[in-house]
Amino acid sequence: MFDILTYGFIQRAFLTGVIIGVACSMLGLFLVLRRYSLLGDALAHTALTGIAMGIFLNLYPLLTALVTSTLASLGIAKLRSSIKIQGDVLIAILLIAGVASAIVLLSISKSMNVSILSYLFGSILLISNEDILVVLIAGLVVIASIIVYRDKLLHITIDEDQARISGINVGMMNYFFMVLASIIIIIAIRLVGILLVSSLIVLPNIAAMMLGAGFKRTLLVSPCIAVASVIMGILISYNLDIAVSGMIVMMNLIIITSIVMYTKVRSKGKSKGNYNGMIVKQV
Amino acid sequence: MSILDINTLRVVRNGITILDGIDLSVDESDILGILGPNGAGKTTLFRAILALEKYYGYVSIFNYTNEDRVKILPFVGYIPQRFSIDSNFPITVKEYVSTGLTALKYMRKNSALIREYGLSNSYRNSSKSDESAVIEALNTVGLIDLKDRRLGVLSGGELQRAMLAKVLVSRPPLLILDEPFTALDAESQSMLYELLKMLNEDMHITILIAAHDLMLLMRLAKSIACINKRLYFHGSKDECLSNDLLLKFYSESAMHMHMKEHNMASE
Repeated sequence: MFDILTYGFIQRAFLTGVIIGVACSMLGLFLVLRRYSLLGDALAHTALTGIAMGIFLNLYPLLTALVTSTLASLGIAKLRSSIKIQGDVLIAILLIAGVASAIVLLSISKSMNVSILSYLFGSILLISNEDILVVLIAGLVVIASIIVYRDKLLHITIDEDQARISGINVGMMNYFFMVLASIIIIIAIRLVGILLVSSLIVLPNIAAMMLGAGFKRTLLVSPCIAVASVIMGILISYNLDIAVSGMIVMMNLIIITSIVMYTKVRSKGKSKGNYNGMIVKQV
Repeated sequence: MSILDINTLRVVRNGITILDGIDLSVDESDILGILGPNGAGKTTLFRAILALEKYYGYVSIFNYTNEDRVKILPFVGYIPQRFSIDSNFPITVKEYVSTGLTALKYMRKNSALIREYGLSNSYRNSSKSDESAVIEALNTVGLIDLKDRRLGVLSGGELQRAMLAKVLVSRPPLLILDEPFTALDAESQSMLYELLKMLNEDMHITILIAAHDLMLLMRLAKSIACINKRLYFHGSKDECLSNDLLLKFYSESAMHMHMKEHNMASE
């Protein structure tokens, strides 16, 4: 079964899939903790506008997508600090606006066809060599930035005021973080497509957080879960001839379900022990 | 020598004047208690001091005024009235307290900023490792046994002490606490009281503390300021206690509450 590893397109899929999975899950931890779980979705949908623009103007679609979603993410950061609009309302507006303008642009350019499907559902097995270079550089930049700035990002995530008093430039960090988020989402579209991007950001972190560990461990465990689901997803989808993106997300869901069941069983075992023992104390 | 100077401070929010004409100065090693009823503007005053709120007038910390003082803010420890954290937030008590290292590192790098103040706290200049600074802070507030717990499962009193530990990692020369006693039971209150007294006496930390509980504040503070939109009084504790006008000022509601407690006790 391991002979599939000799195929070039599978090797490329593994390499890019692992990088994207790690970068998404690490960045995603901060998004989830800041209650921005759906930001990924909103940025991916605004990226659809960018892709439509790229098709319309005959440019490299992922580049125009990067422009639109970076603008959108900076807009969110700006609006959130200046006007008091709730984060979820902003995200809802962006999501809808992104799809609507994409539909308009696509129908004007008469390109509502198959090529757009690969952006909606992902196409990791069709990734080209130049795509790989883009994914590698962007992914490693994001991972390195998060490792370097993790303490500052954590401080801001816990309490922006305290971070500000401690001498952290919160405004700059927020913009920087948003740019990282748009970069990673654009390259993640290659792997799982616009419709499933936020799964890479949210699911590994939900799973890792349920294990009850501290921050450092969660930041380590979550990329491991992401990598495991990417690898299993690609392997299974190749062997059973199923779409990769769906399979990767299914693997993630299976991991979450098993963790939920494991923690349930464990806590049941514990409380039983308490009944047999002396005092039942719920902490 | 005064550490904090406030001149003609005015804060207007949405067209409503919240603070007006506040003049206040805090001396080194003082414990200044800020008294005032709910909604008197105590929190706003602190937020203005810490550059978290727009204001008119002058605020100087260690002689750095207004925009210039932003670079000195890491030398100030602030414990806000409200802080909550989701119980699922993956962070241990020790990891949370370690976020105080940001301020400690800044203070080490910029200790020249307050050199003229003679606060050459040997602690900050020592080569003490980051790890031991965190452990020491955890020990000071008595949370060392809970260091590997998740922050979100702590009780209100324990969370308050964790916040204090986070701030104490850097041993800031000025500590600002906003209503720290309000949400605590009697036992946690006296624990915090002893802790603050120790910080002031042993570590020479200047403390600015707001409360609406007159009795507790009177025991702790060395001087008192009474605020209700304006500054009504600022002086030593003894002056404050012998000032009839002040007692009249001190909002009827608080006095009523106090009398009620006595009535209930005598019934």
